[in-house]
Amino acid sequence: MNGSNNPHRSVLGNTSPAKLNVISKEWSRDSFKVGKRSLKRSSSLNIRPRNLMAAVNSASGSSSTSLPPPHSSIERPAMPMGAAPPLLRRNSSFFKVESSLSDSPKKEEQSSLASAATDRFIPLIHTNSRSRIDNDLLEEELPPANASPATHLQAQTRTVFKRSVAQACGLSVNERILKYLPQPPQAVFKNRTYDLKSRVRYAFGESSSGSSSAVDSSLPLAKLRKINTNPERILDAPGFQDDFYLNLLSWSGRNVLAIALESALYLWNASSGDVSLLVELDDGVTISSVCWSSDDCHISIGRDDGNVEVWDTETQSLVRTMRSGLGVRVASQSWLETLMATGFKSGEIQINDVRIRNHIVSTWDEHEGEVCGLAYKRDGTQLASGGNDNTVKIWDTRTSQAQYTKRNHTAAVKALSWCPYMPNVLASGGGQADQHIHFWNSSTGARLGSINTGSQVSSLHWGQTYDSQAGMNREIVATGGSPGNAISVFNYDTKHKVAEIPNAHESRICTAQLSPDGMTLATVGGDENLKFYRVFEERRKTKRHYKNERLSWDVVRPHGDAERRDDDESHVSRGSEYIIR
Amino acid sequence: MNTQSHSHSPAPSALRASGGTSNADAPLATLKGSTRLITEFFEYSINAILYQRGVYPPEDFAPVRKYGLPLLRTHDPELAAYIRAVLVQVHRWVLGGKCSRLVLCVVARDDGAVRERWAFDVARPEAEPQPSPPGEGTGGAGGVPPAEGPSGGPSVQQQIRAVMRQITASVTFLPELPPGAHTFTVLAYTDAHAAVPLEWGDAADPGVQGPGAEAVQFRSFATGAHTVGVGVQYREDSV
Repeated sequence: MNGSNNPHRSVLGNTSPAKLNVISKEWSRDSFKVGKRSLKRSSSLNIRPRNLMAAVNSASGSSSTSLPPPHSSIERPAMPMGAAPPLLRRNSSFFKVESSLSDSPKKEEQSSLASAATDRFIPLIHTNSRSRIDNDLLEEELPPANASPATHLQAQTRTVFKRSVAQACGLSVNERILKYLPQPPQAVFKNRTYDLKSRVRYAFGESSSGSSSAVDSSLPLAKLRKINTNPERILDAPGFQDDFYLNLLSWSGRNVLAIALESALYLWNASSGDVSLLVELDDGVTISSVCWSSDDCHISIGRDDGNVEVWDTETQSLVRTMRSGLGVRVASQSWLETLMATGFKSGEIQINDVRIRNHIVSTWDEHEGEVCGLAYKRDGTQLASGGNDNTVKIWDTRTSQAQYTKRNHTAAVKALSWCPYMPNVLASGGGQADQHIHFWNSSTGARLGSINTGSQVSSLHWGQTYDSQAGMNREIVATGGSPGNAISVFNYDTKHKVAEIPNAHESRICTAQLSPDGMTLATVGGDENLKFYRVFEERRKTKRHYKNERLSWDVVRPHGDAERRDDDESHVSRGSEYIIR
Repeated sequence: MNTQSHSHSPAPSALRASGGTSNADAPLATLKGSTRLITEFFEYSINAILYQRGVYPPEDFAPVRKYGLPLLRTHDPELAAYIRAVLVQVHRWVLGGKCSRLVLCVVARDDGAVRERWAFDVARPEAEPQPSPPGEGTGGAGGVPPAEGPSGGPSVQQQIRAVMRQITASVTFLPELPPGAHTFTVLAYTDAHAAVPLEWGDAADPGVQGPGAEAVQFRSFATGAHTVGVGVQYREDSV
């Protein structure tokens, strides 16, 4: 193609457009005359060499108009001196089946041109089939009026060529199949996804009536909350296993934090600050999960050989060892009074009763990946489990059936948290490929909302803050990995991020635990640090609006507190008709 | 919600003008009215298909009375806006005579295979040979091949009702689709020279492939200026 295009380029390069116009004009006139004379056509086979030769010539010549055609002997009609060089075009012989002197007046120029030299391309126009060259399409591709005839011809060739190819391929030329490209909306609507972007749309002071945004105008304005981004305390955790699937941290109701460092289990008393080594497992067994029991004085240690040891921390003694018989690590545990659920790498969940000899009460084998999150609902009727098969399952503990299987996450689900103040709300967070928190109604299985956190979710904890007009804000804190390694606090109702501690750790946060008073978050990361951040406000008792609050408080109080009661005496006697004593 | 009200409001007037009252079952006289009727039919049939085939959950649809039938139309704003955006463009094409077919493909969400393909063929029975004035000319022209409306055939509305009934009844023989596992795409067959907005792009129409593929042609209806045929291709899943 390049070779045949060259001559035109050289013409264009050497002459100004104005000159070119003049040339082409008289050129077409001249060649018209020539064309009348020579109607004899050569076979298409010997076009190419001549084209090439001419191309070489004109490319080397300085001004092609002054050059006489060099090889006029080769079956070429004599060109008058000073005429433009012959149009050079490499054509397939496909179009030359019938020579037709076009009769349509519109294409006079082209047809006259085409017949000018024997090796010209003559577009094939079926006079009977009108669809072959469409005037509309021609106009589409028509070059500007002052372009050289060569350009026009080229355009026409292109058109015809396209159509021939299209027809040869069996495509209909006059029809297009068009697709409406935007994706139709997702079919699961009832659970609208919330994402952090919607925050941008939250224009202050704007009445958002009629807007389809997720933010309801009745909701209070989003407020950023100030939290201390510096840790209250940093402890070293040398040898902490940087493994997303393990749960190596647990904080008891008696304010003792247990952390597993490889094969050793340390207890850190948060009230006194004392550290003690509870146990160091021998022969290279590492700890894969740790969980305090509900009575806060026993702790279960999941080993990577599939056994679970239950230790009494008061007496610092091993109470019993429970063997799963599976031989794979215990990645997650959850206690419910005397029952302990353990999740295994192979996907099984075992329910153990620690009181009886054959401790495995039931085995649920429905996960297809490692069970890395387990959480009993507070009333014990349901158990939530999350696995490396990207599913969240909500089990009915009475029937041992998976009530709901949720597949919305696209990565392993480790973070699971039941809401302490809404009875049927479960929050689950996905791993690196997912980065979402989903909220579930555990009794209907519906998704209540979602948050895109932008990083993996390694733990979730519910918390609360209070403000003057709205009362309690329901919040949830998520710990994440790259990028940011941040601790993020989200408001549950608006799904907005209200606070963040960026770069809380130097590497990803593996897990976190909330203190028993619900205020401080202990996080441990891949940088082998254990940090304590204060993220929530103190829990307040839910206030009931009695006529006289002090009174109801007093009624509840035990009678031993005499001093206090005396103190309240005046209020009581003034405010109510109740008799206390 | 405002989406439907737009495409909805002009239609009754068109109906009233044509088939409704005194001049009995005369087919729609004008091209505009006919196009409106067709677009409206598209809207209701797309809604019906999305509902009947379980592409969207049933809570997203609310019953409305149309063509003398209880039909369902989505009240989900996103979906309604989507359908409207499609139909606004299709309306333009049909009006300009550029659109010859509208296809609704029910597509599996996981592998993208076309499970069902609903095709609405729009034909203009009178091409050029009737250069008569639009007022009564098209009436005569429409009367040539399809619409025997005035001469005792059913009115346009009755014809549409029959088609809608068939679409609704098609659930009985179509294979059951698991809810939520499918989405849909809209294809339009247009003239090569139709103006194409940015949201539309060239695509192939593979149809329903594989063993057990079947096609069912439904009834068609004719307005004054157009005939609309409906058909569905589907695959028996048991094969």
